[in-house]
Amino acid sequence: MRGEYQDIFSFGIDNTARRHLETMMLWMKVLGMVALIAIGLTMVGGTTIAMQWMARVNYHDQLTRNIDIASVGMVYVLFPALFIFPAVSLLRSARCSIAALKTNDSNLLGKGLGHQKNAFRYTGILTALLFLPGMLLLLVA
Amino acid sequence: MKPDPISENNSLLFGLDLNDEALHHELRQSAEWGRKMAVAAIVLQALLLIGSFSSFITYQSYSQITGRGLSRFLVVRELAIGTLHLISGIGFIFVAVYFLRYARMMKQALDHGEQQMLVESIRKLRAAFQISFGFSILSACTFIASVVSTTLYPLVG
Repeated sequence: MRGEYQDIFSFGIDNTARRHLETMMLWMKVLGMVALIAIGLTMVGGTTIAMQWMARVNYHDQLTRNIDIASVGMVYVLFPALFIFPAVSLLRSARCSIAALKTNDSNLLGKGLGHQKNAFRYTGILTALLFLPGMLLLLVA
Repeated sequence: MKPDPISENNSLLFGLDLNDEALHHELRQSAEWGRKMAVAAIVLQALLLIGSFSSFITYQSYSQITGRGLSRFLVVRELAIGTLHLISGIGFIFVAVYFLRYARMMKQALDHGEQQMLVESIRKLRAAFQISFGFSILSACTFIASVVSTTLYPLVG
């Protein structure tokens, strides 16, 4: 009877799992921060480079110039901005889970896992949606 | 009575909490979306790698036909940055494989209540985050290199 009790209820966060979870959450936090910095850099740096290139091009008509400006805006501003949410979700997940591990609060751990799920779900859907421009780029190439 | 050091060491932090319905659901959902994200990432990375190769081949044919090519600076720049992109792309496929392993192990752990599998799945996810950090830094360096080389181009190109 005792063996059965232990078998059923020995599934959970033991000390080994806790150690791995703590390290994982720290890395998740670092990754979230790196992602946010990279998004900022891409927006500022990418737009700067593109503008530098565009300044050297002699446009014969306004339409081509507008198309180029729209492309720059899409690639260097819109796409990176779409990844702000998953980066913030990773940070939230890490914060909740680290606090859960410190206070042994399973509700907080559930909340942290919820944020992690959101980050994975959003990134997955976004990546799948990026197939379309990816395929377009492939065709253009 | 002295506590048993072995059972103390293996005691569960949250007691029975992973048998809790809500946590169980979140863990399962997280693993499921992790798997989908990994599959999408592998397909997209593969597409990008194929795209890079095809654009390189197209450019080579164009240069041969027209006899017009890039300056030496731009050729070196494109080769260097292209190689770094290639390494990052392959690296992120590697990360996605770790995500797939995490998802598979977590599902197995939840289905059969296997403690060892649960620990292994957390370890795989930790490794995935660690490796993606490394490749994110490489991608950031590649991006900075392209910014610097583009800025330097008018001076040395």
